[in-house]
Order: sequence, then structure tokens, then C-alpha cells
Amino acid sequence: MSTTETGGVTAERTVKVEGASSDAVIATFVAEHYDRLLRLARLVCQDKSDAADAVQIGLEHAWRRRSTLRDERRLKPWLDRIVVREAVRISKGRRSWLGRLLRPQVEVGWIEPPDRQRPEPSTMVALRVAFERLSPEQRAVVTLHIHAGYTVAETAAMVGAPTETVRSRLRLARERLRQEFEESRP
Amino acid sequence: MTGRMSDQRLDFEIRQFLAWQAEEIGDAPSATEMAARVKARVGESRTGFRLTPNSPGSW
Repeated sequence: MSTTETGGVTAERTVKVEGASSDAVIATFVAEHYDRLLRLARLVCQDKSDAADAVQIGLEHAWRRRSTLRDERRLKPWLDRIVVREAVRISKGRRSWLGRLLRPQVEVGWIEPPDRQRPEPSTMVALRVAFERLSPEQRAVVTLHIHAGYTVAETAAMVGAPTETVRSRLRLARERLRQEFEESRP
Repeated sequence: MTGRMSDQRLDFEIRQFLAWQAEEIGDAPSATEMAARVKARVGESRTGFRLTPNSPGSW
């Protein structure tokens, strides 16, 4: 990803430039990255509260470990990686029998209800159902590669999997989405 | 149903869908609220709480 996409000031630089309190710097840090991270987590988790949790945990983790980031140009992919991995971890917990036992409401969380104010064509409904049925790992690679625009190699590094594994997840995910999409077309 | 669509067309449709679904965050906490939560956990004055306390293995 390019330097310009990293955008804005990093937390550390803000401290030096403005001499602000750590709370003020955190507010800037969160404001700069929150919307993007929430969208990534929402796609991976398929659950709004899980997505917010993943972002919060990820931002806390990133803030605590910010001194380990040597290249400020890598801030955006570094944050994306942390939050997407957290989103996968939370989603996998949901899929386990223990997760369903502890938080059973999530199984009915995302198929219904969509936003009633927005039209939802049949193809979107089909893709929604098919995407929700993918594994969290598949949703993560689809989100990072197709939605966020990371290369396959970058995606592999971010999810901590071999490149061929990521290619395989993408291929399977595309086939499942293709099947649902083509069957839904009028 | 017509023939099998191209990979490029499929990716376009998936991208459209993902962009559409990613907007479904209307009732999520605001950035200000999220910053307050993060600050409460890692900031100068820690009085933290979480949106979902029973998420496994987080704290």
C-alpha cells in the first residue's frame, strides 16, 4: 500500500508535534482510522457488536504496541492486520459450540434485518447469504483482497497464511459467491 | 440464467456488494465513543468498560 494511503499523522508524531496529552492523541488516532477499521471488521464478523469489539480490541492492542512499528508508512496495513485478525478470532469463537452456547443470539444476527431504508436487490440478498456462510478466514481474505485492495501477497502476510492458502481461500470463496449470484440473477 | 460470467465481472459484483454491506454500520459506536472506550482502557485515566464484556479471551 502506498504512503499516501497511510494518511494523516501517526500517534507518535502527534505527541512530538503538539505535545498533547495521551488521551488527546488517542482520540486523534482513533478518529483517523476508525471508519475504515469498522468496515473491515463488519465484513469479516458479519455482526455489528462483534465488529465494534474487534476494532476496540485491535485499537487497544495497536496503541499498546505502537512503539514496535518502525515504519510509519506501514501504519495502515499494520492496523488493518491487527483488526482483521481480531475479527477472525472473534468470529471463529462464535462458530464454536461454546461460542454459540455463550452468545446464542448471534446466529440470527446478520441475515435479518437489513436496513429497511435501503433497497436490496435479489443479487445482493444472494451475495449476503453466501458471504455470511463463508468461513471467517475466507471472509477475511475476500475483504482484504477484493474490498480493501491488498495484493494476494500482502493479504497472506496480513492473515498469517501462505500465499497459496490465500489463493485457495479466494478461489473457493469466489466459486461459492458466483454460484449464489448466478442463481439469483433474473 | 445466461452463461458463466467472467472473473472480472464477478469481482466487480463482489466489490459492489462488499462496499454496500460495509456501509451497514449505522448504529455502531461513533468514533468519539470508540475513542472514549479505548482511552478508558489504555489512556491516562483508566476506568474502562467494553461493549461486549463476555467476548472470549480478550482481557
